[in-house]
Amino acid sequence: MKKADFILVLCALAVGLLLLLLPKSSGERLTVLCDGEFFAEYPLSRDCVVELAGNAFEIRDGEVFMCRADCPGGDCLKSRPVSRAGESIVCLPNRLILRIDGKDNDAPDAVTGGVGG
Amino acid sequence: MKGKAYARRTAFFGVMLALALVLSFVEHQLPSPGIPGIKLGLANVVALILLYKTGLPGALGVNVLRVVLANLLFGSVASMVYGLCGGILAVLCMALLCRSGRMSPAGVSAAGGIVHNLAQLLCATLVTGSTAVFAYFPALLISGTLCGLLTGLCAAGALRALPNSRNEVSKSK
Repeated sequence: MKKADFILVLCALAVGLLLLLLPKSSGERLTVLCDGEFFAEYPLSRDCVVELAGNAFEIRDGEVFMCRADCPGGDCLKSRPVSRAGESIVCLPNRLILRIDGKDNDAPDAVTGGVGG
Repeated sequence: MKGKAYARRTAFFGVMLALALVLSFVEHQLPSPGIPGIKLGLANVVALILLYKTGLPGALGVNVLRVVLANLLFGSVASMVYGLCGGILAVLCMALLCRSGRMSPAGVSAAGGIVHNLAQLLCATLVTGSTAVFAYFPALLISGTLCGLLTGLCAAGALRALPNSRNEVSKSK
């Protein structure tokens, strides 16, 4: 191991940990994006199950998780429930994103929405 | 190119490709953690060994073939796109760092792991048309560094044990 190795590894770990530990505000609502575009919005305070074409997700006790996906991988089914602002569950094969937004989220996708999708 | 050298080279890359595929298969059997994209990258050991022993073309060729074959065998076309995106960029980055000579295989591999995960996030951003996938970035940065370091140490051990056959293999190019 050389000096540059240690610098790279320590810097990467420090940046990663810093980003992980940044305080996140609690989520207010769930925004559903399909193909990068706004599809629907749900308050986290009300429990419900939503059925979509290829997926189904559930809101329970302020947490959101995917409960059905017709894709072969099923990565989104293995994803942990999300509840804090900025967290998201992504189903890549179906191009579906469940994103938690906080109180004053100025929706970055209003600017970047639809890029390359 | 002489027949014997050509045969030796073909056999060498064939064995390496087979080894990479086996490692991909082993990795496929491991349980997935809660965050998509986190993985060991065992096959990167082979890419690193090839990078140091034969240079960029061999490493890139075997890695691309490995990703295509592994996804045809036990993945999907969608995951192949991500795999190729990450695999190609990671090998190119590792080749640059390897050539610079400032890093040992472990550091080169850690950088490769980071670039691999970053490339997949960019690819996912293009596919979904949203930057929401970058919520996974901190976890992927840490896992890419640690897993890259681990596979890099494996490759460093293997490189030390292997005979210095660089001339033997690349002579016939």
